[in-house]
Amino acid sequence: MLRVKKVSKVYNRKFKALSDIDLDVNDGEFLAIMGPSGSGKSTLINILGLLDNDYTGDYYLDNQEYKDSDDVSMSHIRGDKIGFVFQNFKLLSNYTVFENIEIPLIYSKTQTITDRQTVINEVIEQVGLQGKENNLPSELSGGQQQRVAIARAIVNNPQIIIADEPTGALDSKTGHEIMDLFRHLNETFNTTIIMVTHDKEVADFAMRTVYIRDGKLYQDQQSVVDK
Amino acid sequence: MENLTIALRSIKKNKNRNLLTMLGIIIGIASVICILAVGDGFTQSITKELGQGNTSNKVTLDYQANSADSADSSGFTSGDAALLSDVKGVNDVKLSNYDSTVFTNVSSQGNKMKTYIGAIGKKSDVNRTQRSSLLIDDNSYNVLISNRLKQKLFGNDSANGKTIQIGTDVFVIRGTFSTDEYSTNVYMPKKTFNHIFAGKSGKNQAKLTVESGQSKKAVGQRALKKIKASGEYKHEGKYSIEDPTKAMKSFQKVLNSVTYFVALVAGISLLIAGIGVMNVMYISVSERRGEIGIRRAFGATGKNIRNQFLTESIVLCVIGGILGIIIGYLLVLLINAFLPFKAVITIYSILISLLVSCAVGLLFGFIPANKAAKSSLVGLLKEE
Ligand SMILES: Nc1ncnc2c1ncn2[C@@H]1O[C@H](COP(=O)(O)OP(=O)(O)OP(=O)(O)O)[C@@H](O)[C@H]1O
Ligand SMILES: [Mg+2]
Repeated sequence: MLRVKKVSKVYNRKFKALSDIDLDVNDGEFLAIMGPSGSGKSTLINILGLLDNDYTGDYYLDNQEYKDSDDVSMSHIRGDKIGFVFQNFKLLSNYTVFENIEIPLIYSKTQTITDRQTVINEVIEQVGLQGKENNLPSELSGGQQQRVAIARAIVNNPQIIIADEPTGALDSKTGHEIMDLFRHLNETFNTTIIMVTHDKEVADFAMRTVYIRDGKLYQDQQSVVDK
Repeated sequence: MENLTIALRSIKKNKNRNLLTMLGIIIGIASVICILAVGDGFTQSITKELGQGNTSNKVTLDYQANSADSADSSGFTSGDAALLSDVKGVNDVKLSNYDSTVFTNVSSQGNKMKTYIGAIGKKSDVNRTQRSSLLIDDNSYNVLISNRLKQKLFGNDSANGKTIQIGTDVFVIRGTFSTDEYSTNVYMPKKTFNHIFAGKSGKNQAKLTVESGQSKKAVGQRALKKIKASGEYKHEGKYSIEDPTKAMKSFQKVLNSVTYFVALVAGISLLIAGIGVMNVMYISVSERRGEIGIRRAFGATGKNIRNQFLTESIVLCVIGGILGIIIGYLLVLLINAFLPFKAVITIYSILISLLVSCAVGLLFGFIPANKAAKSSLVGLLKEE
């Protein structure tokens, strides 16, 4: 489903953040990416999430390359196929839980208002936030806020969830609850999940872990340690 | 639709900041409303007046005596009328009195005053209710006298029903009027006036009816040329063509300069408002970089974002515009207390105002909105 071939990324024409990354991710896979700070993890998943198309090499999503696509088609693919979860949740602070989850639906044409309501109520139930629909993010705990963010990520039924340190701002117990939720989504809906994390325990929830160091990708931790 | 709710939300969140920004638009639009209302009111009053006068195919020549002494004896003669009716394009000629006044003695109970006597005609400056009490086309010997004359003849007593003597004739006073004019203190019906003073006042107006298909201007000029050359009293006075729109034209001139001034005020305040809007939109965009990033990550196109901020800028301006229209309306009520005609706010001027507000929002919101749309996504998402 995702195929990365010799992808490199250079910042400011001189700093090479990624060099010759090769990576295949299968449909329904739950992949963790680990590596030290500044190694290029966020840089890589920004490319995978079509947030950044300024790179060299090839990246195919569903056998389609979007490097040279225009803004409109990139945006629509993002909206339809990908759901993002961020370390610091990135909820709109003056929007209620319900309204935050609604955002991806605003930009995808299909639903009517009643459709929207049903879909949103469904995902709210899936992440276990019934009764919090009309609360503001500031009225929720960190774990609950991340659940809102996950609900927002899955409301459009994406094929892939891309998560940049989803547990980074949470204590380990809450973090594990979020991971249970990820695993549940992965198993029930066969959603592909690509997750960046610092935490070995969190990474253990994934089926496979890859490692990045100094912009290079390694399939096992040993090679990282060896360097 | 979604953009509208987002826009209202964002505007509500920063009420004070946005109200200040709107101030320029409010002033600008209020000025626009006032200009248009005065202009429209003026045009309406003129068209009404012109409609009443039915001057469409008439040209009036005036005669102005060189000295006051000859005023009563000189003017257009029947010979002149015949002359004028021979001018090419002239259908017929009517002579009349523009002033309808004579200067003579008025007395009662031994008190005397020398004053102008006026005839009540259509053009009288005595107001309508008083006029109607004095049957205009009656031959009656009824008169209206000014408060000034009443004071002089009767002191503080009521003058109604009493009599005054003008020349050898006795008249019954039917009412009084107040006037700022010092000259004419007595008015009587036109027929009576003509009967008594026939021949005493010269005909100083010649009304030419122009044949259809002929240019009023050309016919007027031909007639003027002819009467100047061969008018009977050409040495005692001057002839000229009366311009029925003259008074209006001079007022229009004043109005125009006022309009230019107010338009300048409106223009400047709209420009300042526009810059204010641009500034506030820049602030709004940079405050909400995080929000933009989130929306973009979840499927919003650059165009979606641009439209969102454009909507916000337009809504901001239209709210300002609506407030401006309301304040403009109040100002027009105020202005009307000082105007000789009624300034009117038309649907058209309201539409123009709303259109101008929209345009300001669109114009000055475009650059910030575009900036928001073009920002790099990764940068936006790094924002806290
Ligand atoms: N916009 C940018 N311009 C220049 N250099 C950048 C930019 N973004 C990232 N970098 C550099 O690229 C390298 C990789 O950054 P990246 O954000 O991918 O690291 P990371 O692995 O996600 O680190 P962390 O675990 O701390 O989040 C870093 O050295 C960083 O300084
Ligand atoms: Mg990172």
